[in-house]
Amino acid sequence: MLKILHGSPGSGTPLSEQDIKDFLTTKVLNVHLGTVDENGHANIHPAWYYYDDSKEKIYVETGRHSKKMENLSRNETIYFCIDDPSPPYKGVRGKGSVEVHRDVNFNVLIAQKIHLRYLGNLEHPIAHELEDAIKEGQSVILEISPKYYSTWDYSKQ
Amino acid sequence: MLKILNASPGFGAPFSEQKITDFLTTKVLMLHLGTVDENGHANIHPIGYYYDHPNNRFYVLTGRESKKTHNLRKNEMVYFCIDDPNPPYKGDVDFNIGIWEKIMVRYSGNLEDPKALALRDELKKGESIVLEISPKYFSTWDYSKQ
Repeated sequence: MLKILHGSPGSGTPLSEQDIKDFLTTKVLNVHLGTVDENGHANIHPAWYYYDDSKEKIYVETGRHSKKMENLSRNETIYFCIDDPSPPYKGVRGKGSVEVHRDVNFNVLIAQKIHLRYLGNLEHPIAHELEDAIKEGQSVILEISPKYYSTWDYSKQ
Repeated sequence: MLKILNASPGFGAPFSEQKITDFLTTKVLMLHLGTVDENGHANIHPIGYYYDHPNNRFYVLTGRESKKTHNLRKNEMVYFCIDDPNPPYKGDVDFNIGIWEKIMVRYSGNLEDPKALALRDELKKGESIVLEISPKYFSTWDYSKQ
């Protein structure tokens, strides 16, 4: 069972567990990932994601030497935020822990789910380029385990 | 002149200064504001904004005791991210109402909306304030060009 918080007390309502799963799997939005850099400053990384609603994990691909990887090597708590910028506003955010997957076969399967979600097919040139980076080990998959879901839904009062 | 970086080397091209201004003033998107909390963890706050192009400033409304205000008291550096699909606190109520009007017109187009009026009341009472963000640089990407 998901730990759900009301992210906007006084306005709207929180999302139910089913609403969260529907929102994360049907809306095609970017996830914004928050990390902390070497100066102690917040960094935000917008990224494509795939949400596995049975495992309740968020998956993102990233370069092995990306800024977010560098930041996560010092501080492995990540913040995630997925919000719909169109009214009525709704969204999900929270903290999570991260596991880095380096198994190429696993990573290709996850990357293909992400590419299908955002590009519509696996033949797109960007899908090829990103999948090649996974196969060469230049990119990895981050598995985010949310600790809680802070949610808001302004369509209901 | 803005300091512009290429946020996505190898993919696309960075924005020109004019494109940054157009992107920030014509697209109605959320600003994602990054702060660091008491545990040293990043927090992200999605929020409506107004960008004052001539002065190169972002403005957002927030509660005086909001989480982002609380975090900013300890660490005044914010990160901002606006993507498609030491802020000085401003205590001047008239100034803040002017910013409120600009943000409300941009997002709802209706200054009489009950939520808009409730926000204005909070500003008048000093329960909400305006954050002014002076960007140190703009890290940009445009995948429509290769």
